[in-house]
Amino acid sequence: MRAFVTVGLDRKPFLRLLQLVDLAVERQLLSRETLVQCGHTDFCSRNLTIVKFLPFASMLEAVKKAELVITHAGVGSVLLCLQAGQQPLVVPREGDRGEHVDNHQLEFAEVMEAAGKVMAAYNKKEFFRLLEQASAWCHNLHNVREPVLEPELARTIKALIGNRFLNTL
Amino acid sequence: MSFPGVDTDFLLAEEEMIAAYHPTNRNLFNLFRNAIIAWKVLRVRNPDLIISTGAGVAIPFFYLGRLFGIKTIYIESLTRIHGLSLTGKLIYPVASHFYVQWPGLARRLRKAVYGGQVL
Repeated sequence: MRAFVTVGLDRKPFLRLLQLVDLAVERQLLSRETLVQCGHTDFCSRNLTIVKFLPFASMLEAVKKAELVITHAGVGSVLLCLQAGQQPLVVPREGDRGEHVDNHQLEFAEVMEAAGKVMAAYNKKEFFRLLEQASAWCHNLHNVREPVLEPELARTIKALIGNRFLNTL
Repeated sequence: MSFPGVDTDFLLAEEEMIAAYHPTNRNLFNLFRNAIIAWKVLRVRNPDLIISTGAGVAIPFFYLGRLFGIKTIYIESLTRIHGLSLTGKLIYPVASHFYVQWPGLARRLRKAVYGGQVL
């Protein structure tokens, strides 16, 4: 399975996820064409193509073209996947491991998983179980894409700004 | 105001953007440097409205905005389900409008409003 992997823009490293991805290539669950955007995590592997940051347009392309997107449970990365019609496999950053300021990514992953928006892995075992499951589904994944509508929050804020400010400018 | 990077270069290519210092997470030095930028930007531009999704860079803008009588809208991250971020907690007392993206969280905070999600 050809994956695109990103750990977001956070300054804190997320080595754990990249090591899991590397291991998954060794176990042949992921293809050697897997592209990793490592951001601020320093990581080297001969199994993977690793770039620090792709230009944003190229990253969008990579997300759209990947058979699976693997990412941290950051809202930017997850939203990007959903907008591109991808159901990502997320591994939340944990505060206790120094991967983020606190454990809010764990809560976010749980809720998004319960809503059926993402697949979430909280440990190594689950990561590999979900990867196997995703390989089985791989051909079907691209059928679940849906168009992106304007989110409710955007309408709320526009209405608020429109009513209170724009009319008086 | 945002941070320079591959995403902002692309998404804000057509916009005027003022760069802030980062990282801002638990970083008092950059908070201080961004406060100086905030003071200058707000004095020179005198905006009618400040709108932000955080994080740390928003704090000086909301406090100075309050001081200068500028309306403010804060939108808490979708990732904050059961409690506010540190930025959210600090901004809560001074924001004119305070949005969260989960109804349960809105119910627990008198001033917070649920107005939908970015999803």
